[in-house]
Amino acid sequence: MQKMGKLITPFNQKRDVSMNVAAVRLATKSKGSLAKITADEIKNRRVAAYRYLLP
Amino acid sequence: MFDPELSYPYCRVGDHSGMTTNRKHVEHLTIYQFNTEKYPYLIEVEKYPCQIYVFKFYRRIHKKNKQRFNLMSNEGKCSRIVGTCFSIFLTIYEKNPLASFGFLGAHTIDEKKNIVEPKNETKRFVVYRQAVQNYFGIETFTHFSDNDTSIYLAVSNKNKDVFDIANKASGMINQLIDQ
Repeated sequence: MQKMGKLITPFNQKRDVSMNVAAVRLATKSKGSLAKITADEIKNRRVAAYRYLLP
Repeated sequence: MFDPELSYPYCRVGDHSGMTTNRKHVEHLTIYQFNTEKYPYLIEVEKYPCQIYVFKFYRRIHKKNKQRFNLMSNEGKCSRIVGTCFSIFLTIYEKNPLASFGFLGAHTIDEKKNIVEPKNETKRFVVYRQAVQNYFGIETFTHFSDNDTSIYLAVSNKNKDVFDIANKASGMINQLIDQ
């Protein structure tokens, strides 16, 4: 539960989120490119308590 | 937590072909509605080429708001709402095993508090990614993500070439970002 609590913390203090809209748009005008997430990465990140809906 | 068994009952309220939606690359748009304890919500399921289904949801009252995906409802029902999206996707996947699941974790905008979240690895993206990885395994899907734009794509392994689908999806994302 503590882990999930961290995930949904509204705004991380380390990130400067008080920027105005225009500045954010400029800062994040990057190209999209989808990278594969490895099976190990998913296994490490996955919370073991959950069952797969689709294996 | 995000179990479809806990999903809200939903019904289909809209069915549009790509022509009528006027959205680039969208082949078909289906809109579902469900009610939480407090508010009615809408889920938009956009079907893109290569059988990619992208899920978007927002409060019905924000339907005409341009920032409808960026607003917080502050209702605290995220898990059941995401579970409802999973439930809809499971019904799609049952009918079409080539279906792939995609989402974009929109950045939060709260003008009252003067807060705008950066678009990379948004909190929505982090939560939805965790939910998808908890429930959709690696046997059925190959998982892709773009952390810069907070886009996630789980491609069905029943497709012949999952990397080709990811590349085509990247191309579509670039075109949509450029707009």
